[in-house]
Amino acid sequence: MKVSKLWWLNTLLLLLLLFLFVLNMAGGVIWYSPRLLWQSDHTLAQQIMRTIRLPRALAAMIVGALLALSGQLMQTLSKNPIADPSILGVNAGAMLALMLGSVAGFSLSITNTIWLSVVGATLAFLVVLALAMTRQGLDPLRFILGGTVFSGFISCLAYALSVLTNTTMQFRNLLVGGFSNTNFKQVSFLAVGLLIVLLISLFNRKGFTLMVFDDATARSLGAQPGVTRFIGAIVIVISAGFSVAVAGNVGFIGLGIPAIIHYLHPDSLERNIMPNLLLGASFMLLIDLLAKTLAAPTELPLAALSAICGGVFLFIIIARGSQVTAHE
Amino acid sequence: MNVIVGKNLTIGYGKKTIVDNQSLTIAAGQITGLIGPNGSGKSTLLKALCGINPLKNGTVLINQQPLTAMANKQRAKTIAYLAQTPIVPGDLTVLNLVKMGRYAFYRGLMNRDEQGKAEVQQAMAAAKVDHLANRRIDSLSGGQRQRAFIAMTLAHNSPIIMLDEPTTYLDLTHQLGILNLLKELNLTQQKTVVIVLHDLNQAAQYCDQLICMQHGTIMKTGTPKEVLTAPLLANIFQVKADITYHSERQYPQLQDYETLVQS
Repeated sequence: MKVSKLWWLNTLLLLLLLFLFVLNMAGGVIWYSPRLLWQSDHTLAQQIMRTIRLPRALAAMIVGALLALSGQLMQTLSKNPIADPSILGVNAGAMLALMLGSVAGFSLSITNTIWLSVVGATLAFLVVLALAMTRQGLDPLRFILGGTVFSGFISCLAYALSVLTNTTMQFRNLLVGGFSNTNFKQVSFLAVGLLIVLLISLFNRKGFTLMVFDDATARSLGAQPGVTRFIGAIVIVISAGFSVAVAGNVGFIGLGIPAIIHYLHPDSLERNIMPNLLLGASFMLLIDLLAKTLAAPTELPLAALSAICGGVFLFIIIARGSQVTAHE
Repeated sequence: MNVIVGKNLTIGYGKKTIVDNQSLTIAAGQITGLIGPNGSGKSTLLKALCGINPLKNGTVLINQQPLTAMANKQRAKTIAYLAQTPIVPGDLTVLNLVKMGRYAFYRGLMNRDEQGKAEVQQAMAAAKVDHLANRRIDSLSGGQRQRAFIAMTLAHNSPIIMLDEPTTYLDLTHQLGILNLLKELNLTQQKTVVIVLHDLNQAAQYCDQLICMQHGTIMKTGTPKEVLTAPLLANIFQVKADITYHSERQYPQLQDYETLVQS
């Protein structure tokens, strides 16, 4: 069998992921040798590697993959290349729900944070969809504009809430994003979330892929666009909700990672799911590494780093993109 | 034999009714053209006949079976439909676009489709895009792109194909290319073709039957010779034309059009 470009891309991205995983584990306030992971010397360093850095790296990986997948799905389902849960207020909704829940007296146990943020993400998504609905159906421009405004609005509410209740420090992780204090219990919840969305996506990959078409064409091919959109929305809110519950509100990934994959390998959603997941996970590992090492021992805000790195990266690609297409 | 029967069809969007209480029959193995001025309800009727637009009232029977009783995928295996201006997924290769026409045939988690590969190859060969299989849709000309979409509709391998103005935006050579292709499929594979056309001369030349609509009402059905008459042209299309007939096949052709609308 001929080895395709997609195969090469997936292999390279997998190697990149492994490399960044090891690098992320090694990095921190103090750099450790990755060998500590499997050598048994029962030192404090090994304790740190196994109980602090390992869950952190795993969580970063899974959250990166979830955010990239939700962005890719949202872009295909709404036929809009700049749709993304963080732009459309889905992430902010999850964040606000967590804060409201905490103020209302829920203990922020892992189970509570997960269901609160999934509910928040769902409600925010429903509001944005309602804003975008016209008599002719969903208006893509209203979807993006309404979503952006709504996202800003809920973010402001969340900030106001944390200032008023004097909980800015308590919610620091949520507001600026970050993986410090991630534990194995959170990782196992994330893994379950990832498993659920991957299974749903696997079963519906052909249906999701057909959503690049207008509804009439998709229906004529035997698809059910309404049902597919509903299933896609479930994947999006689970992905966004689980991510925010653990890592806070981190933007850019859902927008930038699918854009980069599309630049490297323009193809159908179905065939680009794997590279998208791998690059999302790799990118998050890299950003988390920067967050914990650049200004050690201070932890830098993950959301800001993600936006800066990703923004620069995307800018380079767009700037170069015009030249590349001209040569084709 | 009548393969498509529409009984008392009322179709519309929301409160608006576009086609009101119309009945029609379409014969198997023929090319049937839907003609009429802009806004006469041709596209709306076509979408209802292939089950994409819901009916407000009435029934569509496909081979005596009500369309509403067919599952989505079953319907897609029976009728292929090509929209007038489908969204074009420019990132895909022609091969991957044509493969999407097999969606209704996929079974199980692995999307098994034993005949798929052969059907896709045949569809691409029939639409003459097999040499473009690995080209991206973005890089194709308008005519090639339309052929690629026709290949996708052929990949259903359905006995019925419905096309909404497949020749719009193409130059004359490519328009004729598409119509010849449909004629060929009709003759060699006995496909039933239902097609919305604007060019009356092309409709007369390529269709066995014509259905002429105005304001959501079917005004006249029959062979091109029966339908395209001077009074009909004047009443419905508001044109005056000299009508000549083809020497062998007797289909009408219009010359020296003149509009009857005072501007």
